[in-house]
Amino acid sequence: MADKPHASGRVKAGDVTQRVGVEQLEKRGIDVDQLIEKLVDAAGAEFTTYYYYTILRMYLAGNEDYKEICEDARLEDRAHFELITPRIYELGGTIPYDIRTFADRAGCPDAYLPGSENGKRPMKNSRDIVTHVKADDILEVLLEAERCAIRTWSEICDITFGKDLRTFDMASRILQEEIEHEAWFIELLSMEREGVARPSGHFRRGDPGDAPYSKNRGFYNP
Amino acid sequence: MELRLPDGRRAHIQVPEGRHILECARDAGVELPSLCEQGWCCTCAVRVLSGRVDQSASRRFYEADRAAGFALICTGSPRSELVLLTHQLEAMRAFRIGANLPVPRGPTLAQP
Ligand code: FES
Ligand SMILES: [Fe+2]
Ligand SMILES: [Fe+2]
Repeated sequence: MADKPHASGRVKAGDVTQRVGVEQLEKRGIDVDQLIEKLVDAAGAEFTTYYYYTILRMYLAGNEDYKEICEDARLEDRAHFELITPRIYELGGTIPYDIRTFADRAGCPDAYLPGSENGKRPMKNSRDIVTHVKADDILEVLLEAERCAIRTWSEICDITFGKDLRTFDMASRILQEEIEHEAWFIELLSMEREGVARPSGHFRRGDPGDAPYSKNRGFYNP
Repeated sequence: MELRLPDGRRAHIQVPEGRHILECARDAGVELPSLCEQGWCCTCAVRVLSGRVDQSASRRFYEADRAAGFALICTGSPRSELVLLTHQLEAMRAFRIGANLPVPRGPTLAQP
């Protein structure tokens, strides 16, 4: 066995309490416990964003194009949650057993509807809705959420680059979509608020929330 | 106002009315850690050695944080002359966990 370095290591044959898939990361300098914590924060942010974008896109009446783009970003954030969560388990971790804990420890803020007083607006009942919301304020919330996502996934790419190729591959796919999302919301907010064209360079999704990178589908390249 | 970095460096910066400390530090060439930049994640946490910080622009900042001497400079503006010790994510996180307050648990790459 000694002439086969990859066949060596501390995990004994038949030992199911250890993971070679984790051992090899540690050997390459990854602090797996810390990586799991970071992934749970990031997954939490994707999950809360998915929830809050559901609300935000309801308030874009008269801007049907914005609605569609918000919907793409929303569904792709769910795809990001779906992509990264299995990896947390594979590394030996778990997401919190209580969804409130999960949302509270998300790495990025709740993307509250403008006018909802950071979600704390008192409501008489569930029909007591916020009635006046400006599209540009919604676009700014969306934009800042994407920016937090870009910083998060960039950090995860940095942590894993050249060491944890599997997490890196997932994070870099997610990062690519987050960068597209930021570009979309810059384009829309810039025109909506300032009347200035700042093209994103792309928009097209096949189906809503196509997630070409994180679902490994063909991306638009005619 | 004065920023003290854990490695002993000190920076004196100006923060005009209505601006946040982090962006003015960056303008002055002092790179400091941040993530959400909305006053939520505590990556930019500092310890307030003297003075008072306005956190009204922060998304999640508790009175208990202030009482324990922490501030979030991404969304914090000076209310007085200030002396701040930077790179306090770990300390602020430990405080939040001890006080049963929410905080993200992941590491940050940015070290002093
Ligand atoms: S960078 Fe997140 S609280 Fe300041
Ligand atoms: Fe996302
Ligand atoms: Fe996104």
